[in-house]
Amino acid sequence: MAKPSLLASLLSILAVLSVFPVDASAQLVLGQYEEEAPLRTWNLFGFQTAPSLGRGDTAFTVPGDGSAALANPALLLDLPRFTVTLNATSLFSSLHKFSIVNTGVLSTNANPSLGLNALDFGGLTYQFKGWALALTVALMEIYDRPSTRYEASYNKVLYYTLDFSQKGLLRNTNLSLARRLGRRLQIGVGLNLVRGELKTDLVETYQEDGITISDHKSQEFSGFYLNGGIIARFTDKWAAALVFRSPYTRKSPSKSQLEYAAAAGDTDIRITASSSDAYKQPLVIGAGVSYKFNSNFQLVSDLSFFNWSAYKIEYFGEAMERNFKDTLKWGLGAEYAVHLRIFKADGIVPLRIGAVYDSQPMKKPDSAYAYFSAGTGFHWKKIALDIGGSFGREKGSGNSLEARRISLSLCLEL
Amino acid sequence: MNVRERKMKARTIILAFVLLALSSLILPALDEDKAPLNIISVEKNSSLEKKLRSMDLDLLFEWEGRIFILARDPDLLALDKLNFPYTYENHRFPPLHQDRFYAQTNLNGAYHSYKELETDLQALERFYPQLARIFTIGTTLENRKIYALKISANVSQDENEPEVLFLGCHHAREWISVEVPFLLAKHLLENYAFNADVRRIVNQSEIWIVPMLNPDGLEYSIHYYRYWRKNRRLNADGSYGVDINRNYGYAWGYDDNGSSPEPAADVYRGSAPFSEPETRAIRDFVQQKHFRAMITYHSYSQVILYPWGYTKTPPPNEPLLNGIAASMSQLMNPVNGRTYGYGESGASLYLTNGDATDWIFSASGMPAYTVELPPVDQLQGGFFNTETDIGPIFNENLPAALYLIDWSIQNFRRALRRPQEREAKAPINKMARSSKKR
Repeated sequence: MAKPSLLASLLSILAVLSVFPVDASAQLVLGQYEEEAPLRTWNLFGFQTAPSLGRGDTAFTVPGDGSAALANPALLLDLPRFTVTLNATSLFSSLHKFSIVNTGVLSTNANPSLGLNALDFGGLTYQFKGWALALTVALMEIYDRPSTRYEASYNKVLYYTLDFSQKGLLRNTNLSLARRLGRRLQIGVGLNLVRGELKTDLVETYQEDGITISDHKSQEFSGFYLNGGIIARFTDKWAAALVFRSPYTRKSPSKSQLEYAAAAGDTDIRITASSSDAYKQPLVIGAGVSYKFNSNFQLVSDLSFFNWSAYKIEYFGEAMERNFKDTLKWGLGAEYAVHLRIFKADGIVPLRIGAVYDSQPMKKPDSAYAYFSAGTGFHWKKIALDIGGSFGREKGSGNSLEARRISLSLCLEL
Repeated sequence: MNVRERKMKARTIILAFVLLALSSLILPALDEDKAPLNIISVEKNSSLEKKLRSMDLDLLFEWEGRIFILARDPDLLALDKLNFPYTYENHRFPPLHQDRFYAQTNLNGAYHSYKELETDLQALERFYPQLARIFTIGTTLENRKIYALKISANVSQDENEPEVLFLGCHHAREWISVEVPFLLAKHLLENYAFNADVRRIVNQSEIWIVPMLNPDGLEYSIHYYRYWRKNRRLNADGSYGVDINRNYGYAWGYDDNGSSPEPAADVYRGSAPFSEPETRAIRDFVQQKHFRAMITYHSYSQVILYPWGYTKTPPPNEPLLNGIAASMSQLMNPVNGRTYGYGESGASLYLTNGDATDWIFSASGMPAYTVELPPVDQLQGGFFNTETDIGPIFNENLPAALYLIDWSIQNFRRALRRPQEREAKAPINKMARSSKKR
């Protein structure tokens, strides 16, 4: 009787997760960021919980936790029979140009930055007689920008204010199924539903004249896509995987209102627009390989190809030019397991390091992030607690953008 | 027929029925109302007209000895059967973006974005090939084209006719300044066939319309910041934009009141005269042509301004400039009851140096005007105009534009007559001189 109630409570957590708000402690903004650009990097595929984050974003061949459903669902068969995974992340990104910041209206002396904390992944996995099933919810993309306020005073009297804010996110709900095909081959496929939103607000006030100029835009996102993967273990040491994410159209009903209000002149001028827009997301394919030197030490590498040249967006009825190039993301990681015996039970402390090269799709500036990562954890009995972090710096734009991320994940075997 | 054959036959009938039913779902019904509409014209004569009236056709109007008819394909077939000669007139009625006032799917509402303007200018050229031609007079920093639309009878020829220039959108946030010159072009072309006055001025002049001089800035204004004014130059200090209406070569940087040396300022004049591709495009274009008059549209203030902008000293020929401005203002007032003030720019509004009007006036001496469109002040909307006010603002500016074109034609004729008169007198003088020599 205990299990159903535990399951019910875990499902409740998942349900809560799906509407969990992001805690955005904004500082300021920066970047070559288009409005729809995810914070940190365009190249988001799979989901990096603490174990894969510490290992250079590698997740195609190594089963870590329930996040395998998003990277390579075939790996779900390597997890314990019934698991639940939760992941929390703290991330920090610096940006240079975005919206009105450093593009002509407001300028900053240094890169603005944004810090965010979020409970960003929850998942359940279950396997039975060569089949595995997973249900996960992940906060895949964040579109927040540092909130910005500008004030102008004359003789200590405030006469002008300008406020800019942008908030947005994309949640991914995944249902995956995996099947063992013989002793060395596993295959998995996932159905994904994405939903999200993006809101941008720009408000100017001229205090003395009582004039307010406001520009509000909002978009909602929804779409379906498939992901899948296959893993082959050629020997006890070598494993290789192929993964994919199908291209898909993210539908986006969009609304906009531009308003000029001057009460003293009895003036209220509005231009409103609504549109059914679409973001054609690119195909992603990836390959991974791992080599186990022994039962304690392994090297892993993942390579992902993002077909950004096929990326197309329609924004308020207008085809926007992004003119992106295809990109590659390459991760390399190592993991060493230290065995311990605590309270008469075996425990493992994994030690992980990794590096990532992450080229960005914009042709101008041609830029890429280089990340270094590390992580560790404590696996004892049926509990796996992991922590991972990465530090990245961008080269190419001349702005030396930074991106840092720390994740804490908990995987319970039930 | 055995049982098996009967079953086969029944299956075949059912299959045929299902296929028929499906085809009715898949294939669109060929509704007569959806057949394409054509506008044709036939020669007006009494015998043909009788036949025509018996055919139950949708007669539109009569013009220049021809009857214009709205006809669908079956009507054309009927006319063909009767060997009835007709001419297609579809090109006279172009489908422009009329629906933009209602659809409003875009951020700029009924105003033109760069791509929308490009599409609409191309439509005008396509539907009026004898009257309209697009020229690219420059390319912006973000590789957008600066278009000039020439409107004239025999548009492909460079005729000895007075040329008049209309400019729009020096400043990105002044969205209405794109619409007025564009609608002027549309008005001239759409009414050429029906309005004798329009036909006369188009036949006797070459009208050049550059509706969007600053497309880079306009796109930034639409997508990021509505109040953006300048172009999109990345300045040496990391700020953006040069005020292209402070970047022309006459009295450039005359003082720091009429423009600013600070790159971040809204009225930054640039690093040198004509440092910007937009002003260079106008400079080169004006130097190639022989314009007789010019209006550059701006907003807001509701005034007609003439040189000088850089000083309050009156310009040469001020009575002429003032007289034309007064006439234009008088023509505008009755349309919607809005009064446009007028006067010398520097004395009437504020000092500006390096602007288009001063440079063009200094280079050619032609009457050159800045028309600051409505509203009159910030409390009435400043750089904002309602979408429904686009039409009325254009309508009140139309008589002024037509007046200036007509003035150019008359002035041009007077100028032509003067040399002829001189030539006519010359032989007498020569004879007189030669007789003296003798």
